[in-house]
Amino acid sequence: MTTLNEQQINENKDSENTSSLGINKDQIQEEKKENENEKQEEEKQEKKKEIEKENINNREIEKENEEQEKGNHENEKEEQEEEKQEEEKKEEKQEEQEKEEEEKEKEKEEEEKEEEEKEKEEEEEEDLSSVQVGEEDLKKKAENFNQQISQFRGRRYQKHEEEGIHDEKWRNHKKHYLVLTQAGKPIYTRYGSDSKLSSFICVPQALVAFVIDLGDEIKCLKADKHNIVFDIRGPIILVCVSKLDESTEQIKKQLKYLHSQIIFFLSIRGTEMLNDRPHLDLRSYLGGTTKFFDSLIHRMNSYDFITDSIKYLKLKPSIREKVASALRETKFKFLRFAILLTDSGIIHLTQTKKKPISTHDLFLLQNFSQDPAFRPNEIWSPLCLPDYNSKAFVHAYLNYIDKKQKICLLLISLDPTGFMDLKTQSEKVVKTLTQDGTLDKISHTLEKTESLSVKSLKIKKLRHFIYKNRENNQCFTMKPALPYTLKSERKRLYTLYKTTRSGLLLDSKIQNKQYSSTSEKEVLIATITDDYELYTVFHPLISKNEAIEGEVQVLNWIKKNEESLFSHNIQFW
Amino acid sequence: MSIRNKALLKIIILGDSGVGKTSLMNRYVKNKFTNQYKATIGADFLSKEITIDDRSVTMQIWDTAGQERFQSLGVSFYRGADCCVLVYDTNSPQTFENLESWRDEFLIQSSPQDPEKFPFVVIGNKIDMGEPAVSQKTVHTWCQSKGNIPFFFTSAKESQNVTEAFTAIAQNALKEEKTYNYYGGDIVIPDEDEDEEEEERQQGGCC
Repeated sequence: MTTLNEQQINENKDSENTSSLGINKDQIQEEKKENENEKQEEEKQEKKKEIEKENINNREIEKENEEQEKGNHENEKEEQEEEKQEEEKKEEKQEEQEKEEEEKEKEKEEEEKEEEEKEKEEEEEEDLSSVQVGEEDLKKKAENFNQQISQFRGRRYQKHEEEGIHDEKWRNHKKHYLVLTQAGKPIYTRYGSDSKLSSFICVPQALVAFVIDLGDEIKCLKADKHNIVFDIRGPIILVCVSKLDESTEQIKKQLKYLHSQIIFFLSIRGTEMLNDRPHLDLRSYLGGTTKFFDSLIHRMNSYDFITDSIKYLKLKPSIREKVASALRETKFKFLRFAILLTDSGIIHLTQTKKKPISTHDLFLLQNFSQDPAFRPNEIWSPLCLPDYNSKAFVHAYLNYIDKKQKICLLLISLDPTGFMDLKTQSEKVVKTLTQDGTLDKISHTLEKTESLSVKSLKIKKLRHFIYKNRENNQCFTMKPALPYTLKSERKRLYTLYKTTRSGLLLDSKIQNKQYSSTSEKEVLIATITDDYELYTVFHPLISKNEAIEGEVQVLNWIKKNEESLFSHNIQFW
Repeated sequence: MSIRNKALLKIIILGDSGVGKTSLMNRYVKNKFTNQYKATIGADFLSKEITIDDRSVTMQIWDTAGQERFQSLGVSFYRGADCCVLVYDTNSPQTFENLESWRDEFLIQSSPQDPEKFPFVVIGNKIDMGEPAVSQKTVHTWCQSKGNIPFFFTSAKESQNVTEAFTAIAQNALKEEKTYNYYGGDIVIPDEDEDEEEEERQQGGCC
């Protein structure tokens, strides 16, 4: 690989030289094409690898975009993309760098995979012994557990780690999140390293402190295009600096979730330590959980987050019923929730009647469970569900029962020593689901529906829609059509949905609302009734009648398929 | 894990205006000095990373305004400090006498858990300006009476003793940290009782 790499570098160097001399542009373009072809091949290979072995989450989300955005793997790459267009010379350098990065990453991933496999093997060995040894093994597990978890949690994607406040790159990010203690010590920053930002982070603290001493509380600051939103929750200060066109309310919602993510790991009692000892460095207790904050922020651009709902996966009612009955069987003394889910949505949820899980908690659980590092092993972890009980920990058992489609079984118990019990329950579920082939059917259906786009509805000029069932807070959506397959366009779509929705929900007195907006980019029609919310987006050159007709068609399609789209009777034990 | 090995220390510098608080900080962090006097407005923040006993320590230094008209940062500002540095001008006895009130002010505002043991460091700055007007004995006696506060004589201008003083500041703050590390390792899970209550409450109904 190294020789290949060197060749590429040489090639690129050559092309760089010529481009700077300005002699042979055709050659450059040719080489560019070559580069692209190479890249395509690389990506194909990667794709295969990704399918064969499991890969990092982010990448997979991007996979869909590959055709449109070659080589853009990371979230923020298109921000660079814009710069790239401006500076063509730099482009090639960057591509070269990206390539190198990719290769390095690949190496890293492979190493990680090896590690994971090793861990897996070890785990399997442990599992075998656990059958014989039982409780002793459990103790051992408990001892190893924290070590393991911290290992897993430690692997953050370190792309922006080295940025400081004086770096142009850092300043150009469209959205910053800063979480700090009332003493001004950093807890989480989205970009840049804690130590490089440690003096900067004092500024929001000083602002907050100053206003508190005036007997008031700072809410937000507007500076040029920036909206700086503050959220003070007990001893913790959360700040978002956004250049995007988002309302303060929307940002507040995001900050609330970030705060919940801290509670999720420490419980409210953990954060209360700061009241007695304000100089405490909370990072040492959060032990490298930063990547969950990163992925949570990433998830904030999702249709379920925007509509405050839960996304269920499209499945035949008969299959869902089989899952339901399998999960019902897990009924156990301390068990509170049994959830079968994948990265893209919930398959089924069974819970106790007395205290059902909130959308908020479920969102955090989904974010937690989808960490790629969890896939090879069974996981047993204490965690806190803020809405369920912010003062106490529950205990989660996590097991990927289908590694290919990443179907994950999540059991939440109150018993801190219940690992073995839940393991048994989990085995029961797996047995039931594999015996009658349900698991294969689910896996098969997911594979088929994964790439299901709105185009398959064959509704004229329809580009995207979200349907939210208000009765059970579930939403359904499909892959968007062009141009929203492009990341930058999709981001714009998210913003459009967000602003439309928050505008429509402002006045809660009026029950039924319909709204339409037309821009040069698209036409949006939104309908909110007691039962549902529907947002449909069409080609900009559509007549009003056509659009309304299109919306009705979407609605009809949903009505027709309602049983497979939503899980109507949420199961209770 | 590496993160455990890292520490972040909030260090607050207090003292009368013109004693050289900002100069000390700039000398230490940036190794720069200017004879020009510019009053600090509100507060300035700088940070520096150092290694102490194999531990990577980030010093978050809060330089405050000495002038009274800027003394509005108040309670919330001082909260959660790990160490407080009291600076006076060795040529001005008044600035030394005022340390007493600076110390009291800090303790009132930040209300640390154990005021007697809170780490302070005293710095007499500007020793390059000739014979000190405050005798070493006076300083020694005062520092001893306040619980053995370590003291240093420095010159930010000539870079004398500045690094030594700040290293001692960091060490002092870390010493305190060890005593509160009682929570350390893994967080004490506060759920035991809660869980049982929870179970009892829930068992009655649904199970």
